[in-house]
Amino acid sequence: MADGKVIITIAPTGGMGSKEMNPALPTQPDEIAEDVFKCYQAGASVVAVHARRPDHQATCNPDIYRDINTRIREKCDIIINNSTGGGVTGDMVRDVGNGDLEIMWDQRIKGVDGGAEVCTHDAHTIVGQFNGKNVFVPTPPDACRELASMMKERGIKPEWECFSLGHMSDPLTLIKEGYDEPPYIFNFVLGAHKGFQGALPFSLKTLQLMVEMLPKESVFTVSGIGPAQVPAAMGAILCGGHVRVGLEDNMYYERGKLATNLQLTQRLVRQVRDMNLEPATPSEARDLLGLPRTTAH
Amino acid sequence: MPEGKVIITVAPTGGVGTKQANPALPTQPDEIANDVIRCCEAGASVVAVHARRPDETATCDPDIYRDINARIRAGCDIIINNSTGGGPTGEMVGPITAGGVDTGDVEMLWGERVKGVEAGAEICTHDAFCANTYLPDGTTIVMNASLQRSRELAQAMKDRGIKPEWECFSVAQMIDPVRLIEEGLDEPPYIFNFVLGAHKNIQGAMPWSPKTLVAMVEELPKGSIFTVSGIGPAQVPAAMGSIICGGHVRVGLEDNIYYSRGVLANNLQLVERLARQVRDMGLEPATPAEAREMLGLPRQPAVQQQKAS
Repeated sequence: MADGKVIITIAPTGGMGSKEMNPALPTQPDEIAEDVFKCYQAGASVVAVHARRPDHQATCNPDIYRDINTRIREKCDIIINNSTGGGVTGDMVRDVGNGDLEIMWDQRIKGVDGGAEVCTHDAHTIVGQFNGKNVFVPTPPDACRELASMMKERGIKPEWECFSLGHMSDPLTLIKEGYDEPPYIFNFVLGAHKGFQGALPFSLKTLQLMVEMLPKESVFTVSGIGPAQVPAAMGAILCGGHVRVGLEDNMYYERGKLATNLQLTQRLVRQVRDMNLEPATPSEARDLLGLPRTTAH
Repeated sequence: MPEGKVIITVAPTGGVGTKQANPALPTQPDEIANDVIRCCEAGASVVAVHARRPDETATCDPDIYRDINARIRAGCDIIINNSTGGGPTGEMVGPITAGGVDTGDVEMLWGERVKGVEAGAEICTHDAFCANTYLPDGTTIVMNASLQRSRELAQAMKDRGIKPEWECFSVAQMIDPVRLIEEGLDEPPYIFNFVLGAHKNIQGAMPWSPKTLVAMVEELPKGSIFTVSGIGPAQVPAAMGSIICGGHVRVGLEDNIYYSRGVLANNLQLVERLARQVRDMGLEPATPAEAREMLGLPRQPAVQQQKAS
C-alpha cells in the first residue's frame, strides 16, 4: 500500500450505460465536469472519461473529449484519463453485415487527441455481447503497437486494461519493446464476464494471480463490475493496489438501489479511511503514476 | 458470503495483553461482561473469552470462566467461546523437567489448558499443534498439543456437546484438525479460525497476505465455516480479506490494541468500525441467533436483556 495513499479513480460515464438505466449517469460535458468535481472534492484523484455525443451515443471525438477535459480542468487538477475504447454505440461501431457490430479502430485511436494525461490501452481482442448483438473489438498486435506509439509521441501515459490474465500478455510484450516506461499503470477489470467473453469474475485468487504477473515497478488499480465493485475495491487495497469506482462499472449502491458517482466515491473514501489509509491527492497520485507534476494543457 | 450475513467475533481480552499496554483491556469478569454486552449491541455475535485471575495473570480456571460466562449471559445472548489456550502467564505455565531436573524451558501446562472445557461454553478453541511462543521479555514457551492430546481434547469437547473452533496459524496447523475431523471427532459445519500475522510471537505462524488466506481457504474440508483473526496491524486488512473470501471476522483487543497507528483502541470501537465496514460491503452483521444457525449450534433461547431502567 504505497505510502498509505490510495488513488481513487472515478469512472463517471462509460461507453455502455444510459440515462434510462440510471438517470444519474452524466453523459454531456457539463454534467460530467460537474459530477467529476464533486467526486474530486470527495477524494477522487483520477477521472476515467468516456465521451458521448449530444444524443448520448458513444464517441471518441477529440473535440468532445477536449470540451469535457477543459471543463474538468477549469474546476480541479484531477488527473484526466481518456478512453480509447469508446463504447458500443454511436460513432464507435459499424454493422459487420449480419447485425453484429465492430468497434472501429480508426475511431478508437482518436481518443489520444483530446489532451489527456493518461489514455486507456485495451491491448487485446475481445468479443462482447450487448442487447443481443455480438460486438467485436479487434486489437491485433500491430494495432496495439500503433496505439502505444501514438501515446508515446504525445507524452500520454498508457493505462493497460486487462480483463483476464491473458490480457496482460501483449502489454508485457509492448513494455519489453520499450513502448512504456515505469511505473507501468495497469487496470484490472474483474467481473465483466457477463458482457465480455473470457473476462474473469472477481475473486481474491484471480486478483492475486494478476498482481503476481505484473512487471516490476507497476502500479495497479482494480475496476470491479456490478456487484463486484466493492469487494474488488477492498481486494485491490489488500494487494497493495488502487481502486476505481463509478457508474461506468456499477449502477447500484446496493441491491436494487441506484447510485450516483458521488455516493460511490464517498463510500469508498470511508472504506479507505476505515482501513487506516488515505485517498491520494491528484499531486500525490501524479507522483505515484509517474506523471509530470505540471498539469497538462 | 452465506446469506449476506457476517459473524463478528469479539475477542476482548486474550491471554497476553495487559492494562499497562492498553488501559481499556477488560480482564475481570465484570469488565469483560460490560464490554461484551456493548459489543453485542454493536453487532458482535460471538465472544472469544479468555479468563484472568484477580492479579490479571492468565488462567483456565472453570470457576472464573463460569463467572464471566454467567455475567455475559445475563446481559445478552451472544455465543460464548472459552479458550483452551489460556495465556503465557500465571498458573498456565510451568517449567519443563526431565528426570526431575528443570531444563530451563517453560511450557503451557496441558493439564491447565483442558480445564477450559468445564465452564459451559458453547464453543471452545482447539489449538491442535505444537509451537514455540515468544514473550516480549525473550522467554520461549512451548505449546505442546501432540496428536494424542489434541484427540483427547476433541473427545472431551464432544462428550460435553461443545463445538471445537480449530485455530490455525498456518496451513500446516490444519493437518491435525482435518485428521481429527476424519476420525469423527467433529461434525459439520467445522469451525476454523485462521490467525494471521502472529509470526512475531509464535514460531511458524504465517503473516497475513491475501495469498496465504486463499491457500488456507482452499485447504478447508467441505462443510467448513471460517473466521479470520488478523494480529496487530493485520486486523483490518485480514478482516476485509476474510469477507471477500466468504468468511467471517474476529476483532478485539486480544488481537490488536490499536485503532490506528499510535492510537489505542477499545473493543467497542473495533466492533463498531467492523460493523460499518461490513455494511459498506453490502452485508449485515449476523445476529447471535443467525450465527448459531450458521455455526451449527443448538439454538438457545435468547436470554432476556437486563435493562438498566
